Amino acid sequence: MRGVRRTETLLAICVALTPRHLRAVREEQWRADLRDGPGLGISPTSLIFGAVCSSITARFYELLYRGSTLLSRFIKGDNMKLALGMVGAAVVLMGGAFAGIQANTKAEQAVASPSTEDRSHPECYDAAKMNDPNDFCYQTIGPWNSRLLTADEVRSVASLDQMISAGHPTDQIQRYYPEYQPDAK
Amino acid sequence: MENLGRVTPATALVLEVLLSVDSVWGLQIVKDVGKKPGTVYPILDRLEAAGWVQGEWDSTEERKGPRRRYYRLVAEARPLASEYVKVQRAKALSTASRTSPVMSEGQWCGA
Repeated sequence: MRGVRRTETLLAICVALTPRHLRAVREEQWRADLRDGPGLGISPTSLIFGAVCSSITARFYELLYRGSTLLSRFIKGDNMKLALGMVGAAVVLMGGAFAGIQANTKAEQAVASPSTEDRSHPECYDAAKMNDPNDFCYQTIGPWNSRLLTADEVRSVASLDQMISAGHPTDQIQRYYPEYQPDAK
Repeated sequence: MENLGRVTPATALVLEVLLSVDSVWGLQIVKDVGKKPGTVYPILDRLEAAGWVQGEWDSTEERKGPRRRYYRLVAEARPLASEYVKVQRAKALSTASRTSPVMSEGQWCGA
């Protein structure tokens, strides 16, 4: 009984593997062979194995045929324009994405390390201090990437009094207000 | 009818059986060529897909239940099938008749 159930299960798998248009024919053929095969000295196991090989081969050739049909359709030019357009668009998008990532990476690197033209504001180029509430730039301008501001821009948003009350060292204040002299206060 | 490409010895045996009869049951081919169903079924599938053989149902009314599948070699395929069988037979004969370069009584007998 168990053997019959196993055979039925395996047969069902073979039928499922077989391409749709061949299933009915193959199933009937295999059932007939399973019934009559032992009479010829051919075991059910051998027949089931044959069915497995047959179904896998048929499925393989069907996929091969489908693949080559699709490819030949493109090669013949039926959808060549569309395919080329899609490939071109994909290349442009990928190129744009790559360029964007590259630009972003460079920008992040510039934030991490001070550039020559911004050495006058070293305190504003320390990435670790960007959001540090105790940082001079944060205190005067708020949570802002202060490296984007020139000295004039900093002065426009932070007065001398604000900088003094923020408690920053004289030399840093003098970067923006060179005329500042603490002794003069 | 498509070209078969490479014809294996097993395929040639199947073709030989198909050439010898008008229509034959698939399992009978398995029995006659002496190969397993796992070898013969895919060959028959391939021949049918290539248009060399035509499958048809057993028309015997006495037998109940699922029908046997019979195979017939199409007329256009017969000359080619004969050719393949001849070539395979010739190959088999030449392989059998060629003496293998083995040691015989301690002496090298290479051709």
